Amino acid sequence: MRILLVEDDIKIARFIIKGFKQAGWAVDHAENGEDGLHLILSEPYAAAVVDIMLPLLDGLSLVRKMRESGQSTPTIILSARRSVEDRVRGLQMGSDDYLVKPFAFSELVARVQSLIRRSTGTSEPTSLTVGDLSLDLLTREVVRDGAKIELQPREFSLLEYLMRNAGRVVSKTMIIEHVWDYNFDPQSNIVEVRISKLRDKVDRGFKRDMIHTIRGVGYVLK
Amino acid sequence: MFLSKLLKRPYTIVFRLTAWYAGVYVVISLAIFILLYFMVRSYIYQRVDNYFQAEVEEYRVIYRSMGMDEVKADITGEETAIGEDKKFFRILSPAGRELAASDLSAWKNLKTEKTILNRVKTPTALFETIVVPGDRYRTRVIYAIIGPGVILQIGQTIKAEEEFMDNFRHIFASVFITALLLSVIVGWFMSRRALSGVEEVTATVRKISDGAIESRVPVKGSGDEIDNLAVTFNAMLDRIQRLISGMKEINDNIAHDLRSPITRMRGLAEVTLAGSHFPAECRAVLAGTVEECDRLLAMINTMLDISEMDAGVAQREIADVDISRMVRDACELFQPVAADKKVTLELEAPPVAPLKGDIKKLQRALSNILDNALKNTPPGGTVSVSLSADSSQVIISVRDTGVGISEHELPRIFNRFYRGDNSRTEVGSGLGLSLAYSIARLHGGDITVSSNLGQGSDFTLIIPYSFSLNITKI
Repeated sequence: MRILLVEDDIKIARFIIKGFKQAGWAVDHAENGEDGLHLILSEPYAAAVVDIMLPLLDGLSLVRKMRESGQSTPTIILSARRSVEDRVRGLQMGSDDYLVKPFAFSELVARVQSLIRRSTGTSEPTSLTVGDLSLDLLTREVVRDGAKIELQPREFSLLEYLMRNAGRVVSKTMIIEHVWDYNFDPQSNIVEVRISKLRDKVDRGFKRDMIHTIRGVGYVLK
Repeated sequence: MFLSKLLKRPYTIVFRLTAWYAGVYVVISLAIFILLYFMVRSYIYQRVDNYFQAEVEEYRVIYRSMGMDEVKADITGEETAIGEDKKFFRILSPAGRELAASDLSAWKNLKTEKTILNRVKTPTALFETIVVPGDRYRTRVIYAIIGPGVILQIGQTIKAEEEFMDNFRHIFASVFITALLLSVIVGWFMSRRALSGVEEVTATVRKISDGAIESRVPVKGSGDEIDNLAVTFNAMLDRIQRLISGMKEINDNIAHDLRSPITRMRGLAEVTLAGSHFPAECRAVLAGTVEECDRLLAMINTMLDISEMDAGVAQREIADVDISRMVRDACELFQPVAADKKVTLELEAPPVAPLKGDIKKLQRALSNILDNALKNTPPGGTVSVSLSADSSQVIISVRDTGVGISEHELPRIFNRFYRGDNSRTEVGSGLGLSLAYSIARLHGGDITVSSNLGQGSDFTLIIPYSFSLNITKI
């Protein structure tokens, strides 16, 4: 799987390339908008990550020209501007997603993955399984090593989100956005408390812990 | 009671100008009338007296040249010509004895004071105005000596003169009242016209304080005082708008310039942390870097949010919101945090409480207040949330049994970066309550707080049902 990164900030580009390679993807990098447009039109990338502020051709125009040429590569726009208008404009120009700098790298990986999954048409699973833990999305049953685990609705959503991203780190902000339809500042310890309650139910009494805290970054289920 | 209320009322300038206008009119026209009235009156009565004087002079001549009989004959003729109820004649001796008289049947109880007769001396005539019972109009009387021991008394009703003066008063009264009404109306219209420019300025300012910063006061080009005010005011608005635009630009630049390095720092640390197997010490440093970047970012974002809201340039996504549901969600959200800290979280709310507002911002406001309450409440304490609504607003009260806020801290708790003496050790930026306050103001509401040190605090978030939905675009 090959990803195109169009970003003029070398330092940012460097860690994104490094991170994408860790996630198992090959990366092409363009440092300006024209090179980026040339690459995206000449090769079928699985996804493209495009910064807005670029030399020669800005990110929004790049996406618009690419769509006008009939290229359907799924694209994420990166921007330092956080206003809703900018987000709307980005989506109107034909980008598929919009991420505001600074972002958690884990979130960028998750979004690229979800774009690829959407564009390749992978069907929605009805159940999720990680090791000896399984979660049925229809009956809302959670079983670990044959033992049924009772979860409250919010805990179920939290576990579902962690399992969908199994093996990948999810940040606190990602959890807040996906599990709660409620705006609160990630500085409060709401997420920690919820994770520790979930851990009590999922990990306590089993030989191996599945929910891990990666300090500073987030949580991972594996 | 009514009058004192009327006097104490704060009056508009239009009312005061009108009152002044009418008041000045009343004073001037009354002065003119009084002057005119007395001038006319004295002129008219003087004419009557002059006529009497001339008549007496005539009788003196008749008496001297032709004797008493001719005087009597002349009196009779004169009386018949004018009418015995209009004029009377009497000839008296200095002692008051009646020597001759015209028909006095219409002049009831006509008496003559001895004292008056004593004052009659040659050649000065004496005048007197008397009231005859049954007659509406007064009578002017003259006493004059026309010969030795002969006093002539002539009385004549001054009906015509008195009628004239009555008419004069009536006409003046009706003209005065009509003109007074007119002056009130004209004064009111004139003040209204003069001040209509001020009202337009007020309307514009009201729009601007609701967020429509691009509005301007219409300038008529007449060059008068109000126009000058409008021009000056618009110039001030231009300057404010430039400042706000500049501030927004600076904010955007800060957002961009600060975020890029944070993006690099955070990204590098995160990717390195996830990919390599460094010793625990290195990992701790990297994790710390990511955490501090996140805190820095949260602070920058919250600060920008507050600045934008305070400057009236924040974007609001106004929709129907069920505040009751929002409050219940918030309590559900914070329940595990409270339980973890052994704090009881109570909720009292009606089933629904609809409102128009920006749900995302209101959620942040409430979660910051709740977060603050839970942080300041020791284990075993209680945080009670209650929602109530009256006809105009929704009131959310968050009461805790925490450490409380001292009196000298109370006025400062909504200041940016202010952190109370007791909360310095807690995690937080000192922006949460400031943000909540700005969000409340953005919705036309308010946050009030009362607190007793050691007993707890009571935060009240008030959101009105209706507020102006102007959204500013610069």
